[in-house]
Amino acid sequence: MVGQPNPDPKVAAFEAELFELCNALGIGPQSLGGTQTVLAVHVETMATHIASLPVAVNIECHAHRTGTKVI
Amino acid sequence: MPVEVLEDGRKRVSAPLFDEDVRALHAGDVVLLSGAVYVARDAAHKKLLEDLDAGVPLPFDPVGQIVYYAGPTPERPGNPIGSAGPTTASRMDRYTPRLLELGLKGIVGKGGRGPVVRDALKEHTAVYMAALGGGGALAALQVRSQRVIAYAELGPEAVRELILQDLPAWVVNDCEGRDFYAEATAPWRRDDRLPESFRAGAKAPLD
Repeated sequence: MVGQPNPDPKVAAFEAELFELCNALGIGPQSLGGTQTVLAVHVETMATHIASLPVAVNIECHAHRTGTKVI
Repeated sequence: MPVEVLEDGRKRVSAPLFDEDVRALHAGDVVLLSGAVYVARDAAHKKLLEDLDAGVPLPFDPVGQIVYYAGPTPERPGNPIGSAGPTTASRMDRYTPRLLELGLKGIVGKGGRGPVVRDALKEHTAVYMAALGGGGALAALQVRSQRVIAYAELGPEAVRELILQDLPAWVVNDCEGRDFYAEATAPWRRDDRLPESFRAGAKAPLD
């Protein structure tokens, strides 16, 4: 829920870690620099079939069109 | 005058731009875009380059001109245009060098450009500027008129001539190779808190 950490402490810790990392990038509003790059990170989890591990990331328009992630 | 320095240091920029005008624009400058710009985004760029390959004359002469990456929404009665904000520029990276070779001098979009475009801006003395991302409704207030000049079948992605009055933007990549995004974010980056692949000097996804 917006403004609230995930009730699962393990997931909440992951949200906090991602939040710290995102803001450590220093990108800031409009990529003009600053301490605030993201306002919040919310992680929701659901059980899936053991052979499929789908991950969906939703963000505002620009940045992650050019993102890469090694899984 | 194509680049007019205002009392507060902002620079009013109008096409046509010559090399000397582009050299007067530096990474970090706040500019006010006025006069005619050509709107084109993905589908229009694809067609522009297909036309070039086929030897068909372009719908506008790019020499000295400014291209704005946008796809405006339909206007309400009484307004010249709907929402008219910038779109992500990196998708046009593959098309940009060709237009710069032909003499295009200014580009307006949002977000960073890849190394190929940054080098081409330097080589051809051109400038990349960013308008306010997410500010399409505000940008529309600075549009005085619009006219579809080519590829009308593309709807919002048709090539348009817009007449602007003081659309705010800032210079990201100048013709000296400076990158304002890199400069602006560096002092805020906390490499001590980041995994190695995200630290300064790490290969960026676009590179």
